[in-house]
This record gives sequence, structure tokens and C-alpha cells, in this order.
Amino acid sequence: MTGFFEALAKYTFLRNALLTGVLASVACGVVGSYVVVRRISYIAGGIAHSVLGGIGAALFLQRALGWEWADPLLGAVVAALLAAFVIGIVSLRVKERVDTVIGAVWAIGMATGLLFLAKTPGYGEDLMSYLFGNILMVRTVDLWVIAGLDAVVLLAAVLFHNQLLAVSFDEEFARVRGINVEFYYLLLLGLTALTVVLLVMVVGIVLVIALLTIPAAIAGHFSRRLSVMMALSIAVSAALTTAGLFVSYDPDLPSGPTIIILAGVAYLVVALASRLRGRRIARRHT
Amino acid sequence: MRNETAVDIRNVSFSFNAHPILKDVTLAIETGEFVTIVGPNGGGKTTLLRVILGLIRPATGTVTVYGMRPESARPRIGYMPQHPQVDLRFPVRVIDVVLTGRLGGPRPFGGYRREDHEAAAEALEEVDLLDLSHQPFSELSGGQRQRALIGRALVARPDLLLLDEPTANLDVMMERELHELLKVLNERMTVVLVSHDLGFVSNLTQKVVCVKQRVATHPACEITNDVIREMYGRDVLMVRHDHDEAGGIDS
Repeated sequence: MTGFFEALAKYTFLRNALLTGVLASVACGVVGSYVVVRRISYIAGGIAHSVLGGIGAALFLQRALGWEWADPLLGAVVAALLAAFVIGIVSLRVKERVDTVIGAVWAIGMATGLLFLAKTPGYGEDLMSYLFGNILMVRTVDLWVIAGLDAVVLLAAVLFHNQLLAVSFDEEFARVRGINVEFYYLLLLGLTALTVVLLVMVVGIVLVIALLTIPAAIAGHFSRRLSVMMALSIAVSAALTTAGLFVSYDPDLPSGPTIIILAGVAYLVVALASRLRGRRIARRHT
Repeated sequence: MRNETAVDIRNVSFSFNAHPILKDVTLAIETGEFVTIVGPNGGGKTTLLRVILGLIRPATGTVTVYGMRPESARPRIGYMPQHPQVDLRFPVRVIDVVLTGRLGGPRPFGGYRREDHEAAAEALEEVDLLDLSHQPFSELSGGQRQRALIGRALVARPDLLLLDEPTANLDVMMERELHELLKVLNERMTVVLVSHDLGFVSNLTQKVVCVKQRVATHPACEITNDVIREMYGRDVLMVRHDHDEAGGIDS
């Protein structure tokens, strides 16, 4: 156990990992709460998987064509925003079945990424860490990008909180009040895309959806207001990522899956406890 | 202000998937009136309301609200939707729900101001929920929830109040309270409500609008058995069908 703290003092990469978890938790708590109450976690899943397309394309450009500026993180941001925009526009305008579109974006994004990676020299070791996360690989320069994305998400969420709440709570009423419902829907998907990219760095593409929704779902059990739910879920997310790093370090477990398992256990405990409590209250009232 | 026409609908027709819902509807609602829209399920009551709100653009005909396009008149309209599709686990307090009625003004972002909070307190007072304003919306009873949504409609101080099935899921006591509230509100605003419940209609209403694709308007005192039979009874199956559904949820 002391190994973790000694290593923390010694290694920059571990401090970076810890900081990444905490920073990503800020966006995760805020946007995750919107995702849960608006019930768009499947959209977040689609966006997350399409990120592989951007990462693959960036790595291909960087390694096969020598375009130095094509950073995988940049590719991830572009792909996530593009996926969010496509899903948003199609579901608003085309009246296509939304789940079909999400499924298509999900798989096409993955397929694009895999094709690019197949033609990129020496991709093998990267693929696993993109899919399942390797928070220990976060560079100091990435931390600044993460902090920047955090700032964008927070600013938008603070400025438009009331509108996003109104649209999520009762879309038709919001429309009658003259709120531009389409704009806020696209904004929410855009914020979800940026948050997904942050979380990909923590737990990887496949596991993002759990880290986005579980802290918010846990917080939802204790919150009467959306803003409280957000604050609580930031704390829960930071606690889970930190605990995951701590638990995984000594036995040398992969950190992403460890974080997700901890989150899953915490959610199960909270859900069961609140069910039991609900039953006890119901019994008292009868 | 009096005698200004609040809603003016002329020769409006609307179909959905080639299925006609409204046919050549012409209807005027004057300022200060209390109008009840009745009719069988699927007859087009809610569609008519959505036309007035500008949520549906009719294929033919014109709709104006206070002489404007419905979209432009929305700041003057207060709207209570039919048991809205609200997730009951949504973490909001009553006050948060009511405050959303203040949005959509000239400021596209930012927090609520003092006048917003004052208007919300006033609206909550009016619907008698001031002492529950910090309770979670999900913990209210059906009648209180209905009143909170009326409060949300009132908070922008509308001239025209539209209510879609406000009596759904209410017991007799709650219906009486709602009655009293609407009577007070009608002293300062035009009230239009959709109801499947003919009994609720009679006392307050000055004008009854019967919708079954076409629209017939009657002064409230002239609602007789003949009129009801005309509207619902031409087809006995239709009546039965209506009763089956009206007992539960009206659509």
C-alpha cells in the first residue's frame, strides 16, 4: 500500500494520472448529470466509439504520412464533435430512427479507426490502450488540453444551465417559451463529445459510458436539484478514479477496468441501499 | 384591451400521414373569454391547441394570436401541457420548475434575476404552493403537480392561458380547487382549456368548442343532450370507445 504513495512522490506519470482523473471528473460530473436526466447515454456510447476513427486517422497521418501536428487527441476531439453533430442533425431533421443512426455512427467510427490503424506502422500496442484506457500514459502537455476542455465545458454549463435544464425537463414547454430547443440539444451533444474525449484518456473508449453515467446515477439518489447532482457526481467520479488508481497500482492491474469495477460496485451498493430504504419507508406509511 | 381578438383561426385544415385531423376549422376567441374545447378522443382537441401554440403549422388556412403569428405571440401565452412527459426522478424542486417559465426572454443565457424570483413567488402564491416551493417536484401529489405546472404557465404573466386536460388524474376535491383557481385567473386573462370532461365545462365556460375534425361553437348555456348526441352520439361505438379511454388517460 505504501508503494503507491512512494511511487506518487517519485513518478511524474502517476501524478499526471491522478490529476487527469480529478480534472476529467469535473466535466464528467456536470455533463454526465445532463446525460443521465436527458437519457442520452446511448448517444454518448456512439460518440465514444466513433472517437477511434479520429484517433486512427490522426495516427495514420502522423506515422505513415509524417504529419507531425496530427495528434491523436486532436483526432479524437474532431471525431467526437463530428459524430455528435451527425447524430444531432439526423435525429432533429431527418426523422430517421435515432437508435439506428447511433448504432451506425458507433460501428462506422470503429471500422474507420481499425482500417487506418491497420495501415499505420506499429499500432498494435496502442490499440488496447485506446480501447481500454491507459491513464498512466497521459503526458504533462495533455493535462493542459484536459484543463482547457474542462474550462469550455464548465463555462457553457454555467452560462446555459437554466436553458439546458428547461429543455431536458420538458422540451415542448421550453419550445413554447421560445427557447431554441434544437440549439441546446446540439450544444448538449457537443459538450458530451468533449467530455467523452476526456474520459477516453482515463478509462478508454469501451468503458467511457460507465464512467459518464455511474457517478451521476449514484449522485441522483442523493440530490433534489440538478446542480447538487452535478457537484456530488464530480466528487464521486474523482473518488472512484483516485481509488481505482490506488487499488490497481500494487497488484499491477489495468487501471481503466479497475475504476469501472469499483464504480459498478458502488452503484450496486447505492441502488440496493436506496431500494431497501424505500421499502422501509413504504412499510412505515402503510 | 377588451374585445381584442385573442385567437383567430380561419379555414384551417391539418392532416397527419394523410389522415385528416382538422377540416376547415374557423374559430375566434375574444379577450377575456373562458373557452372549453371538448370532443371525442382523436377528434383533434390537442391538435387545435398545438395549432394555436404554433407547434403545428396547418397545411391550409391562417392562425393569428393577438394579430401575430403564433410563434411571435408566445410571450403572451401561458401553457400547461397534458401530463407532460416528465421523468419523475428528474432532480428539480418546485421553484426550479416554475422558474423555467421565465426563460425564453431577450436574454439567451445567464441566471435568473430578482424579478424572476419575485414572479415565481407570486405564481406559487397564486397556486397555493409557496410553502412547498423547495420540495422536490417528484414528491408532490398529482393535484399539487398540476398546480405547479399551472404556476409555471402563469409566471410569465400571460394574457392567454392554454390548459390541456387539466382535470386528468384529479379527484373531485382537487377539481373543485382547480375550478376556483381558474375562475380567479379568468378575471384577468383569457382561458382556453381542453377537456374530455363535459361536467367540468359547464359552470365557468362562456363558450364551448366541439372538435371532431370539424368545429362547432356553442354558448355554454346551449349545451343540451342534442348537442352532445350530435358530437359524440352519431355512432354508438364511438361513444363507447370514448368512455373506455376517457376513464383513464385521454390522448
